[in-house]
Amino acid sequence: MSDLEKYIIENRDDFISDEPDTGHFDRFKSKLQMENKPVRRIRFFRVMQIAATFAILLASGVVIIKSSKGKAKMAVVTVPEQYQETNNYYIHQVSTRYDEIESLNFSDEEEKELLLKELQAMDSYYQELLVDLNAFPGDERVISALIKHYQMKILVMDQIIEQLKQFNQAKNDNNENSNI
Amino acid sequence: MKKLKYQDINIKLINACRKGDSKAQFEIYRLYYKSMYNSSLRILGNTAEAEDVMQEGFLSAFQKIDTYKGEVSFGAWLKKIIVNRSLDIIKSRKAVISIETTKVDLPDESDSGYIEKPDDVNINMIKEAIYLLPEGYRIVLSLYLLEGYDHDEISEILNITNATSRTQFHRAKKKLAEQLNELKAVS
Repeated sequence: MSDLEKYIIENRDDFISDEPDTGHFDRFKSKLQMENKPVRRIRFFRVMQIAATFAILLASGVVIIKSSKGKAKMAVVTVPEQYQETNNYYIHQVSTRYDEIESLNFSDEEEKELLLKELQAMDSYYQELLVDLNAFPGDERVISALIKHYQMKILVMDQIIEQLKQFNQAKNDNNENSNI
Repeated sequence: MKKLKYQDINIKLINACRKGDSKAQFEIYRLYYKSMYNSSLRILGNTAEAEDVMQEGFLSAFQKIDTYKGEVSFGAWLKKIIVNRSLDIIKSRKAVISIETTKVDLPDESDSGYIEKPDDVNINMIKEAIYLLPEGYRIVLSLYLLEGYDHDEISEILNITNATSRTQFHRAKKKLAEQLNELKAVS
């Protein structure tokens, strides 16, 4: 054994000296809480959606949705030409997220149905307000509210997807055939 | 012969973790985080990634704690999970860990790999020099010298041959000595 090798091995414990960044205990506590309460996490989504729905209702007051073959997707709305591209972009973003949510595993199918129904309900509030958009298609305040709604919806959907992925990952890890 | 069970000093905490006791889980984290973090950091070379992998490793360990049969210490069992997860991250970054597999002559009897520790070198300098090593060298050297894995274990987890592991380790030591001399020269 080399002198250098021997020195390192004999002083192994002294090499354990780095500390994670400040706050790692709190970060771990949060992860632990999330991990130990998977069912509550799913329920948390709903609270978030409802909260987001009301926030949007208060802040904007517009938008869009129609059911297509039973699937809730953002529908094409009559918007001024200059906003058409933006509108199409957001429709595509939301639609993609619906597909992703539907493809992910839930703790049970009932949870999945409830979540999708609530997402649809979130949109249905805006159908009534669609009349306003059609009545004042050039109104920038309405267009702005429409975009805000899309952004908020995408944010909520991303959080749902992230949570579901974590939930699925935890489930996979649990089932992992460990080689230890 | 039946393998003897290892009675871990933290067995009460471990048993509480088996029941999903989150206070016990946090206590286990508090006891082992530093060692696990340093192991992960030496493999990944990045503090944020090392913390993330270390914490996810703890969560994974708690989920499959029923597979811990007490044949090794809990710390050794946990470390294996975290080392494997850290290596998975490295593997996910690229197709293979850059281990040089070109055949080189292993040190013979007269060249047993003896490498002198340069004078006036301390632990901090060695740590710095280790982080300056190419990734493949750093991983093999850390696993062997600091984590206590043997070449059979290293070859298995890195999917390389035993000879490659030895060769890589020999080169890593030489490179480490060179780095130390360079660090000494600039200090």
